[in-house]
Amino acid sequence: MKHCLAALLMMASLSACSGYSLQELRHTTPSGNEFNQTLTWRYLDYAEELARRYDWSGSARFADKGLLAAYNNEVGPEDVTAYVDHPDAAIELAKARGELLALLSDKNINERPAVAAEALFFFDCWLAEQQKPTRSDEASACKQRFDDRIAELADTSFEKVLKEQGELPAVDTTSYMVFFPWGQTSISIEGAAVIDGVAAQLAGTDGYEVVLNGHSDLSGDAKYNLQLSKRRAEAVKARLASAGVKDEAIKVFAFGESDPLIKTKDGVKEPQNRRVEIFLGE
Amino acid sequence: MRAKLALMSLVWLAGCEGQLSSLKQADFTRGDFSAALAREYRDYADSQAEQGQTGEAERLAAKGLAALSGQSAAPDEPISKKHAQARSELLVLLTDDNKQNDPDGLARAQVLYDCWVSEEKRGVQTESDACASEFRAVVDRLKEELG
Repeated sequence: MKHCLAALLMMASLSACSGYSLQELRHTTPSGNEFNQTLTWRYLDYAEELARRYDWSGSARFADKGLLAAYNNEVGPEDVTAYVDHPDAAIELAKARGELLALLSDKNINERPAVAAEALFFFDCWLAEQQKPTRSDEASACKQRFDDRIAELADTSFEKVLKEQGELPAVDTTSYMVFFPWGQTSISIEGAAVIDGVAAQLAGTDGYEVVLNGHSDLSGDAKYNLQLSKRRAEAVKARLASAGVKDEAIKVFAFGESDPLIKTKDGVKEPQNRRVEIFLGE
Repeated sequence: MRAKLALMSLVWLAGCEGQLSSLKQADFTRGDFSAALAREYRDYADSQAEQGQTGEAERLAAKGLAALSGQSAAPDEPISKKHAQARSELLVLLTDDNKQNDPDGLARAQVLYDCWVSEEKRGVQTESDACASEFRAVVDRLKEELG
């Protein structure tokens, strides 16, 4: 608690000046677990690289994330909408982000901390580099490394182990996520791309089940948030149905603010908690 | 002689197709202070071009090209007392010996100084602060290491 407060106070004072976060990070010894330590070093290296290229806002952004990780706070992947204008790129990146979040499970973070941290870092790197036309080689390199780490995490995922042990059906069980603006149930371009991708995956198949779990962040009234999370899941259901997924195969559940992806204090607006999870199974 | 001809052709090309694109095609592998300075100006000019500051990007690229061809590419003129003090500190460090011992560090310090002045002129406070703090960190290190 003391650490969190100290980190928050420090972040608030640092955010006023972009050059200082990097200098602070250079002199900070990470205090967290291996996952956060790996993140700290990766973000430090990247913030140094961006400062070397005179990209001060980028450098400050990733130095701030490095500081958060160094003080053992939760760090999530960057928001795709902040970096991408072109719908095609948004679709690919949103899908990748959903896949990453699904694989950043407690089990993976505990058992493969360095791989999980690098998957998160290389996603951010890919996202940041792809927006600059002159840096397509760097973006491709980050994407390749992201893909490698994701493959490694998926290869040792809990679901795969259960499947190998015969405890799960051998169907392609997959999960996706759709995120929402604060207080809203409307589906963004990237959210629509994820949903349409799911519909395309299911096209021409039978015997599937789609489970939609709606969530909210912890800002606002809990009862209202429960309703909001249900309306979000219903919005995803409507889009899936309009894209050809059988209505009767879709089950909707609402969790309100009870199961945040990122643990926060009450009242915090956290984009990654405002989501609908899509699970596919037999 | 061949190197000089190549540099002259770079300067000539710059007149036709823009200073920054000419600087980007230059060879920075020489490893001396001039090449390091040109590379730093290229990177800073590139960042300015990305932000749509094409005029400033071209001016910086011209300084890079000048450095590469052995012409003068001095730190920008100060716009305040604090910049004048910083420039004096930098000029004291820019000796031939130091340029030979740490070309990259000195080139970085000079372009960070220019960055500080340029961003302050434009009134971009966060960028100006970042350049100033990085300049201070690099100059402090150089003073400690080079004496």
